[in-house]
Amino acid sequence: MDKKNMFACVDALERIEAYLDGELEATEATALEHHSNACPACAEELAWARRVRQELRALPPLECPPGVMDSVMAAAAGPTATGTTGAKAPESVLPFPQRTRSGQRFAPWALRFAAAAAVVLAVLAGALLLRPTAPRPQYTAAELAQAEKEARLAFAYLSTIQRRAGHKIQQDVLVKHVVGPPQQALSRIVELPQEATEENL
Amino acid sequence: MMKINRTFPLVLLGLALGVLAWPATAQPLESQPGFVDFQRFGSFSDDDLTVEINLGGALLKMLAVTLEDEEEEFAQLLAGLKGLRVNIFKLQTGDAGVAQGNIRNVVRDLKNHGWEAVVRIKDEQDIHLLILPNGDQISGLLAVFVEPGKTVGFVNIVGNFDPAQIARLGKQLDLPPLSQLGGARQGPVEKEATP
Repeated sequence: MDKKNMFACVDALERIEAYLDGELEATEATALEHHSNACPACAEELAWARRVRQELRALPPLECPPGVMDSVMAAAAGPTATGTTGAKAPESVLPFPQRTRSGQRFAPWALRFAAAAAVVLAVLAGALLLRPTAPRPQYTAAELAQAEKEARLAFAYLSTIQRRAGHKIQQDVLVKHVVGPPQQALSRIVELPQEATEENL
Repeated sequence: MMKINRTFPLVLLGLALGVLAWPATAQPLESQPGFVDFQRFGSFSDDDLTVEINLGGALLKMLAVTLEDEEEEFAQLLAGLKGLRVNIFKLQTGDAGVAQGNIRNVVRDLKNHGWEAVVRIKDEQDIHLLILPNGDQISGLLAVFVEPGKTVGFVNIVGNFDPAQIARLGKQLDLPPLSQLGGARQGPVEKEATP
């Protein structure tokens, strides 16, 4: 028995599609033809496959609605597409995350850290929302007017103290360094008491 | 590296709880760095208390809001304050020496705790002016005025403010004369101390 007669039905049926596509070697194609000539069942399968193929080819081609292809191409290209071969990928196209050596996209510690951070943020946000706020004291117009008066008086008193301190310093400087020496010289001449020229605080 | 990664979330949690706890607990005026307890200067009798002004931070802030259109700089000064306090006592004859001794001790202690003496006048009138620096600003001011046989007065401004503001306001504001201080509430009054 030669090779062309060695095809079994299983072998023939597996090769029908390839035979119709013209992908079988010549010897296999010849063997399939011989088998189908001798085997009515495989011949019927071959005829049926050939008919389906012919009927599919006979169907009218489907037309893509106008504008669809343009939209798809525009979305894929994105606003930064250059349209040149080998150009940089558009920014709208995101790369897949790089895998780590262990084959995971993220390291375990990073996942734990992210989870912990998420918990902390959730606690923080929840506590901020639910935290009881101290009641803001309400003041009447009369209380505010009285407070304004008292604040002015407080600063007035402080200003008075500062003025007295400044006055005292100026007076000390004046008496000791300006008035003092001439007065002492004058008192030696006319024998005036030194206290007579000092201004009483 | 791994240790840092494991402990960092805990640090974050601690910080978050700290941030939450901080505004929730309003700090009392007494815990502010610029606060000075007038009781430290001696146990003056309440009967001798002629003027007491005690304005807390909440009231000062509200007052600042009401004044911000009319007197912007005064309002800005008040808004930064956490407390404004004045106590003036009548000083009995013979008490001046004790009061001045106490005052000197307190001033010495304050200077050991970061306060700086700006003015020190020792004469018939004993005047102390101290500030607590805080960078370009000051976080506390204390003025003490002793007039033997007449009065002893304390002024304590608590909060951050620019000292130049007070100097400018002293000229700009139509401050009433000292004699009108009697118009303030007499005796112990408002104890509002919420900063």
